[in-house]
Amino acid sequence: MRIETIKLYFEKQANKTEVIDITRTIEHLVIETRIDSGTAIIYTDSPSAAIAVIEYEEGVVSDILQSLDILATKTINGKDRISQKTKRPDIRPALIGSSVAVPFKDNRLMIGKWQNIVLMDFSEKIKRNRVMLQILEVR
Amino acid sequence: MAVEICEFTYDKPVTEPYLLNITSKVRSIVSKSKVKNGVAIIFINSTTTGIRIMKYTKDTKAELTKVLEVLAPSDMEYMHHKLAGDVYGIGADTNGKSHVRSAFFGPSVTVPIISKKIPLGKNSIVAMDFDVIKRKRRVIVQMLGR
Repeated sequence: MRIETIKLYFEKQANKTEVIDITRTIEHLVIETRIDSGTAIIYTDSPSAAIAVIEYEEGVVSDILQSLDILATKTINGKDRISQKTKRPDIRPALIGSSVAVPFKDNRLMIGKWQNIVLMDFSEKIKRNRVMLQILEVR
Repeated sequence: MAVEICEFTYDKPVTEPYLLNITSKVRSIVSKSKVKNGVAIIFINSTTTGIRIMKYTKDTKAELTKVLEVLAPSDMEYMHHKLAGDVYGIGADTNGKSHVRSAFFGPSVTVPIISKKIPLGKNSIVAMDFDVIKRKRRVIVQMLGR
């Protein structure tokens, strides 16, 4: 069994929520390993970020962020959510998740035509996010 | 050690959400594979589906359907309708809610394989189809282990 771990760093450009498409980066790294079959695990340890698999279209991204805003910030029984009162980091990353596992075969990720792997960061500052790509080959 | 990939398809009717119990299909694939101990990754390569492990009963399905309506209501305006309809040349693409629901549920689950069995307790592996038209879907089961 062979495991390759690659650390990637993405610089967030704006001080608001940002969603970036990292599919091509992941695809190229899988191809470079020359591994035929295995699993690619894409994981972030950033507390303000999440990894999702979506269609990377402007409308879809906007719709998802709107749903997250409604879920994570709306009041409950007329009282503000705790995160609004304390201004602590919110739960949006936990609603989306911090990793995905994608099988690959013939050295290619088995994603559908419209699937993109994205990094979503919900913080309101410019920062650097770490993403780890772990490639498992089982011979 | 081995890696095996099997696939199967299902037909989604026009009903939505379509919640399909795929446990017996996955168990059958795992029991026929060479992998005795390891992991199984069940992956659907679509942006309007999800997959989760949950209790599969009439009540849980009904509750989930209600929650999905709160998460991404059917009667809301979606930017995807406005921006993507013409791009794909299919008029108003009305599955904006399907993409949002899919983002929350994710494309895969990972489960252990122990002595050729998947420990699910009273749970089931449920393929969740959120699209608004009939679709043919592909489910990929990847097994890693020895």
